[in-house]
Amino acid sequence: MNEETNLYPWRKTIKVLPKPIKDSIANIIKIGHIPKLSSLREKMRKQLGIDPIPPTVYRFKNALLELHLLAKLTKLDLKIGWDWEKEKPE
Amino acid sequence: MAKTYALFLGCYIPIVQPFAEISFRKVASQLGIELVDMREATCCPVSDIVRLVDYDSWINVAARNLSIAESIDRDIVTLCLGCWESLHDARNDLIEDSELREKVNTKLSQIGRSFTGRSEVKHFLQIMVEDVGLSKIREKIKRPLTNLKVAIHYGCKLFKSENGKLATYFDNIVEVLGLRRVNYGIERVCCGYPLTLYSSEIAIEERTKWKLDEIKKSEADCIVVVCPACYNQFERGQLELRRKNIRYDIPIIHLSELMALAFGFSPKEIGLDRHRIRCEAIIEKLK
Repeated sequence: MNEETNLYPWRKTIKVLPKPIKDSIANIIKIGHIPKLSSLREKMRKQLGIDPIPPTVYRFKNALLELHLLAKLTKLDLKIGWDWEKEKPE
Repeated sequence: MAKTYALFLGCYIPIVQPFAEISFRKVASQLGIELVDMREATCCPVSDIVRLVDYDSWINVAARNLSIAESIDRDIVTLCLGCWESLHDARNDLIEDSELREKVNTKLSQIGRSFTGRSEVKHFLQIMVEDVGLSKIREKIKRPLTNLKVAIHYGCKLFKSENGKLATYFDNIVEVLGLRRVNYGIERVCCGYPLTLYSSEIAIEERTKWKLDEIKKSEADCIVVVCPACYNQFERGQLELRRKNIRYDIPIIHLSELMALAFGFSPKEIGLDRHRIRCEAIIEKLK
């Protein structure tokens, strides 16, 4: 395997992750999803007659523990410099 | 007999586009489809981000989501093209590569889960055409949408389906609903979303604005999408461009919303009056 195929799908080595990518992964580790659920969105969902808190890890927080274990096992946390105590990247 | 699916909501549909969620739930109920919420689901995770950063993390988190549907013995349905692509690709990789599957299952076993591959991953277009059928959709129409002119925005990932069949299904449903389709010439061009991960400004200038300009010229009443990322991009693009005194006011609507309207649900019931790019002109046309 040459260097080019090793890097696929990137064309060159990425030394610093773009901020939107780093922030998105940080949110996935922190809450299990990319966008945060605001009180305004909760209110809108309620008014539309659906669960104010979506029936996913947004509501069922135990699922986050499974995600955290996978993030540690695959070292996703290290890829973005995630600080588990501060719950944000370093 | 009712067909039951595991509903994978993803990140953006429930938060940014709940109109699509409520519409799909109403449409599904009319068509005798039962939806089971995947309560332990997380982000798919989005391949444009997580797969590019670390394949191993992406495949493991996706496999965990797939295992949830398997645990309730249901195929997955999603309203998002990004979720569809991520889960569909991950399932294929895991089915094709037994060594990879074994490695992933070793990790999943630590959280009491496993992947077998028995649950398929389907975008809602696929279940509407292949499982429900266009004739049944036609039977349920109470309000043909012949007054509306729509600009179809396919979304890039749609063409990753087998022979681009999802794009054909998109066209089929638009036609069944009675919508008048405009041709604006760059239907297949990306909305710009993936570029926003590197530069929001370039994405809007080089992709979103280009599409909005052509759609405006076509005099479409709205842009119809089947992906919340494309929805976001057209919405954010229009709001950002307003700051530069460039105004389009072209509503963006998920196809499930148009189906709900055609099935007779009122604009208010599905939250059409809650879009940030206002839909009043469309609501007026539906009267």
